[in-house]
Amino acid sequence: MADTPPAYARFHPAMEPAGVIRCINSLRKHTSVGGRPLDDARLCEQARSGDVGAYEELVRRYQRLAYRTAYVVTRSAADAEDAAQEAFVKAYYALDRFRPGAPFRPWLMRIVVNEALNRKRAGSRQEGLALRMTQGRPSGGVAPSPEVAVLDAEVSHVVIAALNQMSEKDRLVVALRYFFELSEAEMAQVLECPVGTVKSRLSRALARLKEALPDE
Amino acid sequence: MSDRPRSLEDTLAAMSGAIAFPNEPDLARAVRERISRAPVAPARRRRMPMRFAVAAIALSLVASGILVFSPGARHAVAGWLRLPGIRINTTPNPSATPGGALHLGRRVTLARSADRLGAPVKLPVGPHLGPPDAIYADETYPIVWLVYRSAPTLPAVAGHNVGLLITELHARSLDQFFYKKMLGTGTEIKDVRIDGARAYWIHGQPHIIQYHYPLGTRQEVGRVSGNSLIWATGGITYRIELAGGLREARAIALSMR
Repeated sequence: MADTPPAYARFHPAMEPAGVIRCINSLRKHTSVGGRPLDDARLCEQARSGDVGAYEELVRRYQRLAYRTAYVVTRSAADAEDAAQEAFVKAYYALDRFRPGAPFRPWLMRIVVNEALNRKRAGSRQEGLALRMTQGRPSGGVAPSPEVAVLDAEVSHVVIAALNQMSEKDRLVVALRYFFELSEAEMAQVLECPVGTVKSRLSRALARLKEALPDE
Repeated sequence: MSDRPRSLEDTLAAMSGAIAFPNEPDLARAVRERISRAPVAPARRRRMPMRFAVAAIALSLVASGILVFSPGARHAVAGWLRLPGIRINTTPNPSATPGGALHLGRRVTLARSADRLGAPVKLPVGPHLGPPDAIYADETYPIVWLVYRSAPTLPAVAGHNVGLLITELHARSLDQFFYKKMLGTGTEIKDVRIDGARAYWIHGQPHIIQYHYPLGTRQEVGRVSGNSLIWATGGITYRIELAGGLREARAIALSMR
């Protein structure tokens, strides 16, 4: 076992030792069994039985994805936070309608997307932030040659600028597929439509994105 | 990695790790606080027998105001009347903005509405009623609304251009209610039957209807309601709101297929 404390031991550094132990035990219960992470289905089952800690672990597991998805739609940090939080709360109260054994991620994402679209329609904050690229190289993967890296960076900035001009629904479908790497089957669940419709929506969104890109 | 030019799809996929999203907030703590405060405990809901969960929810009549009850209703009040998804309270001076928003969720097709409700959506049939002008469904909870525009045969109800509003909902536990009806001193409630099922006809002075979702997100939203007939059968609670009387409401209820 490594000497560094596990991540779950750092959540409440100010707690009393006994409280820290209780906290660690609780988090261990909700994050692993026999050293392996609990799967979503198990956590869902525990949450449905009234285990708030299990649901908290699910939130922790998907909060980044939920927030980023909401941000793609709303492009407002505050609206994205509200939408994601509201979606998690609504999902909790809808857990008994969630089919046991079904994948949790697309089911949650459907609620997130609906919340985000509602807020976008309401236009409550309208910060109008745009998606943008980081300055550094994407994490992971093999580094491209310097020439390709420069070219990629330029292309990426152009593509992201074009994406920002698209409707939130086109932006969402592109983001779900390419940025968040959902399968078409998962997207069908999120968007509540057949897989064939997902394919055509994605195809149309890509066509519009290509049209929006400047010639070479 | 190859130095060949990438397709748009490849470019998008390669961009995924390099988009500068704002740092996500710690939602886990906020969500935990909210669901811990909420009165609904999933464990109790899960343990509840399905037929019981489907068939019952609180219709609590708190006698802080003056109501006029039929003998049957008066008898039932003593033993807590129950209908799934709807709670009825009395209050001396209920108030809400006339014509307040109906808060009907999202417009959907009939097929989608059945998916939302988790059961077939019943429609009234009759010489004066065609298909609904619009169908709405809540995005999270199993609630569906059928909206009919006002017409000479369907006078507008409660300050809206709506002549008939039918709500169909599926409540899942005794703790859950979606609507709270606030009855004042001039509102009457009558115990009636629809196809053998106990029903309540609320009429007289307009009463107040509040969304009361378990999340608390819409608790304070209230509007003035027209006359309404509510009953539960087959696991679904039905509510008919209209400007007309019991005879008309009952005819609509009995025609629903």
